[in-house]
Amino acid sequence: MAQSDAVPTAEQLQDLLLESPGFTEFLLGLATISASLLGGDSPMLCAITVERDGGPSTVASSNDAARRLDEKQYEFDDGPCLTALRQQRTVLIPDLQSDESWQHYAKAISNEGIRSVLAVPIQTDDGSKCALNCYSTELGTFGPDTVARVESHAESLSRILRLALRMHAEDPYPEHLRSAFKSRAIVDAAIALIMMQNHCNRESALRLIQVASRHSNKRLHDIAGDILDRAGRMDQEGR
Amino acid sequence: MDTEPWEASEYYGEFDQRLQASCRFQIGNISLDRLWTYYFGIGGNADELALEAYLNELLALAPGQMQLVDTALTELSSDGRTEPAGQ
Repeated sequence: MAQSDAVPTAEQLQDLLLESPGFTEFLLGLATISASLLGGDSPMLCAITVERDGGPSTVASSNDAARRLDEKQYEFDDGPCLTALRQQRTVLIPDLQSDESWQHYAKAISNEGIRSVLAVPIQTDDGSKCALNCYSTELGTFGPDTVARVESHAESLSRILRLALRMHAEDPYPEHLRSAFKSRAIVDAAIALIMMQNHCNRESALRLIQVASRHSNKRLHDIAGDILDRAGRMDQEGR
Repeated sequence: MDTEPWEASEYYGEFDQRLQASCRFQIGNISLDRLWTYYFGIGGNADELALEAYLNELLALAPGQMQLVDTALTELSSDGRTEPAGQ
């Protein structure tokens, strides 16, 4: 493991951006890379939070525990990561239990076994704010060297994150919802076509498509697409 | 009109169909959100609450809609893809 060098290569990050279908997936990949690069002898939990002005905030976590730790902050609208994000400064809590300024947060996450927290801002363009949050189950994980490593790691993510934010600007619908919309439009168009051709009702038309799908062992959505294609071809030939 | 062979499965009774859907949903480890979105994508008209009630055997859906839920469960479990097909 690249322990001495916690900075991912530009190629690694570019590949991740190219291979991720959406911003959420990209951020998830970034959190996972961070956790594996920064984790030393004891595993480190990592989460990346992005807040966009007027847009949704996205949180990606290297695992479920990190996700819960981040969500707790949103419940209070306060926490080390949100402070790092909104004030754009590094927040270090070497010992969560004895730290007085974060008592309420420490209490809220007391069952997660987290002993120390480090949150580091990641520079982005105007219109969005970003921070990397690291959690450790041990005391003394975040010595000066580690803090420096995490900070330089965060710095190395800045450029790719800015690119990703531009590439995936304002995405109110995740990929699976968009593909459901698309699929629905095709199925509805095929239903309308069958209704028009057969003068039947919607249920009968839908049943015809289902039967065709079952008989041909193809997905309903693909059959609907086939029906539309065929109608399109006939339309062109008829001209 | 004669009963078409393909209609046979619609006559095994709404309760059986509901029970079967409920079992397949539980075994398939699919989230309600994911199932509803897929079901919507292939033309489903029931809302998510009605679908949930149906899967908990509290409510019946129209025959065509029950068939669509079946189709959605089959297509979702056939190869583990989450998004509607044909992308």
